[in-house]
Amino acid sequence: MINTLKILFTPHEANNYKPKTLHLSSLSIFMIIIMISQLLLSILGKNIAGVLGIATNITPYQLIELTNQKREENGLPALKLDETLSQAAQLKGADMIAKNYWAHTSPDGKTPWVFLKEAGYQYLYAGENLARDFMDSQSIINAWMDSPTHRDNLLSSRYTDIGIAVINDTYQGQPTTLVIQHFGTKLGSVISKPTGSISQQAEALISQVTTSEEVAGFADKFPTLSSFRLTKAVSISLTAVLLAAIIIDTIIITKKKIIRLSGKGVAHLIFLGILLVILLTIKPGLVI
Amino acid sequence: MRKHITIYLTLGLTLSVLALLFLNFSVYRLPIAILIGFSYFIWGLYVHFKDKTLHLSIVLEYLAISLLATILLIFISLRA
Repeated sequence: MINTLKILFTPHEANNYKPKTLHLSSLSIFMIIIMISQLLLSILGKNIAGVLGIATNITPYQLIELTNQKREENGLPALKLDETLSQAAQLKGADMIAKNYWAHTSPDGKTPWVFLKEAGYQYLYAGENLARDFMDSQSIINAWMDSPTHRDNLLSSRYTDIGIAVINDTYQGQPTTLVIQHFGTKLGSVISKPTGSISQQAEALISQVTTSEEVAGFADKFPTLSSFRLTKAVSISLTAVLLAAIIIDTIIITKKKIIRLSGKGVAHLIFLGILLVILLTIKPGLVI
Repeated sequence: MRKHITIYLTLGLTLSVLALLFLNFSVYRLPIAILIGFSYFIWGLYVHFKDKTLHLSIVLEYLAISLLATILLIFISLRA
């Protein structure tokens, strides 16, 4: 056992004075293992519901509450939940799942406003925020607030209504949580005085509200593992093993003044160190 | 010694900037992941070329490490 570890992590006569972990053959094997494991994750996630998936803590009501909280903090009136807007958001979400896209405009050119009209919401102003793959409502609101255009929608004084859809389905072969947030003001509505701080370009989008019962049902269906967390854990472990091998190797090589033809250990340390920081810091979730 | 500090500093700064871009611009993660791996590979080739130590085994070593990191970044981006 100790001998094996020595060969794997220290420069030694038996490994041609380079840790076996850093040999080209080992690095190639790591790459193959990573690719095969990702392939398996995709296959499992697609075919065996309940084995791999997501267990999110996102509900439309939390999102509305948090949105109104942010508006209140900025001196704006709260938005009212509008079932028609929610229905439009639901239509948009269903369209994204059916046509396998994630964008404000569908591949066939359908804008968010079409879904508003289809749901029967005659708008004076409208807006849309989209998010996917977040684990909780607060993270979504934070991401939207960090993005100027989404923030403009959230804090626009031109909107009076809100509709939210939280859709759990399979997108591009992975269990996914899509969140569609629609804002609107009905035709003929009287809106409060504009603050002047909102971008005039912040035309809106819509989303739909699913019930908390539906969300809870989904969590029951996919309660176990997240493909993101698994990938993150595997990636961090592999990077940490390589870093350990390089640190030990660099120390021994320097101490024993071993001369060999090899890449620069310090450079590998910097590169893999930054990779490790990225892997430790990265969080799931995208907004558009 | 001073030359070494400069080349490592250049590498560290470049990769740090790319890492920040990777983390903050989620829509562009895939091209940035490729850029991170490619930058390191090119950096390795350049430094060893200047040192007159550019051999096939070294090229393959940098290629393997860059490729492995790129693959990890691409997969984590796709799952995020």
